[in-house]
Amino acid sequence: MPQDLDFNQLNTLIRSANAGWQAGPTSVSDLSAEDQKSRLGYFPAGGEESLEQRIQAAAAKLSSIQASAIGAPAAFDWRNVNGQNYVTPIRNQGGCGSCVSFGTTAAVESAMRIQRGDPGLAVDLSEATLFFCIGPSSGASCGGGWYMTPAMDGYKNTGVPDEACFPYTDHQQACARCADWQSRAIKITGWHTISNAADIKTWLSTKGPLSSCFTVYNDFFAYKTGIYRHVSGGVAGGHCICVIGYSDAGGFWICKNSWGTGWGESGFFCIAYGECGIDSTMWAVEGILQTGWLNNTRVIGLWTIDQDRNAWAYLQGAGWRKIAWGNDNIFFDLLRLLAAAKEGARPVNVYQDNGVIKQIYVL
Amino acid sequence: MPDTKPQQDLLSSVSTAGAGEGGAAAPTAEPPTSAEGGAIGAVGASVWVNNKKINALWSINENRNSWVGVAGVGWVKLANNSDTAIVAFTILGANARQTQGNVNYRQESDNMMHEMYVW
Repeated sequence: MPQDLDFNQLNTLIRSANAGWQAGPTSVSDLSAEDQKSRLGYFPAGGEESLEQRIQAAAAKLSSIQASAIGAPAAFDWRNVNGQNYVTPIRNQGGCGSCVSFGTTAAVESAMRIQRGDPGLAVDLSEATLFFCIGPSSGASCGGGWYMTPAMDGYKNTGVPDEACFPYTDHQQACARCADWQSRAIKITGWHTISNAADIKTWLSTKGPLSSCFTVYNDFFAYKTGIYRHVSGGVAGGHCICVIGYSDAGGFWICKNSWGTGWGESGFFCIAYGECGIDSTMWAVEGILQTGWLNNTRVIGLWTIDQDRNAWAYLQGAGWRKIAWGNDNIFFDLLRLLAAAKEGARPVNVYQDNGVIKQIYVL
Repeated sequence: MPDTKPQQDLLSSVSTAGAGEGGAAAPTAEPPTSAEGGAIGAVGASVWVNNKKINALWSINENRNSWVGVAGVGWVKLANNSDTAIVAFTILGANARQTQGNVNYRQESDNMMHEMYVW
């Protein structure tokens, strides 16, 4: 909360500004300024826009953000897609500047549920692995924070195992992931940034949640409910979260924070379009490369091209997967079984190794 | 490469597409929706022929010589630049013949099929 203001004063300012949100005591509102800052952790680097550049870019395109995107619905929320919730539970980064790890991991976890078509999929990835094992080579630390590019690259190039492999605790520590982390790791096929407002809404409403970062002002720590707009207080720092939806009628993004359920709307918040740099650029997870069994799925399509041992199968709930190409008989045996499953409309159990089909049962 | 062609006509539409002698890519298309109609789109020398059915298959005891009959088009030769590619094409063609699923394919200036989706 801004210094020298109590909640009543802050709410008076919010009402005076017609800002549309309510302040009150939260799990972080009464922490010291230093402890509040430790709940953030985004420090743009590696060519990413500065916080100030994000603020200016978001404000400059506010009118295009407010316009409805052609082809995208007027509102969308991954917590309620035909009654199904594809957003994993709220986490708490505690007093460590690891928001980048939580903001990216939330997007990857939702992408897994969406790609598998299974909102009940039990997925909880290890933010500690991303931050304390992959992060240090690019400067990640509880006190110094991190930035988005190496986090997304970490998911693409190294992979992150499940939470039980390296449970998160909120203090600086050495990498202590489990011995078999590689066989438990989830990788993504790729990532990219999206800046165009219509493209952001289209991605959100068709592909999945996006990671984003913005400037946190001191009044944000006292956010209880409503559509946040900065009213009072100076800059506390940069922060990354996961954007899970939007509303054109209300003019806001719906976001998943990592400050536990005692803050905001049970851990979530709404922030106005163009506010605090939230929609300058967002980060999209393109797909999930998984190692392990994908059971009871279907072969929807097949693809090949005039190249040696290059054929792919489109699996229900997973998308395109390359067929192992180690030698001719491996390639053709697997391709023939996938074709047979498609011909007979039979269910299949498929073992993927980083997204490559290496074993199949046709049932 | 052998240039023997299938001799049998395909239904009433016989327009056998003559085929000359003849970094790992990945598919980009999503499964079609029922609203998508048939279309032919050209990019340079490449032509995409979409939403077709395979109604016949042909092969012969010659090296890398396999063809598919495309409804409304005629016989189209499968790319013959690689053993594994032509066998993969043949498997997909057979699958399309059996399931009567929609096929999208890319035909090059050599009139052979160089890329194929079967849905």
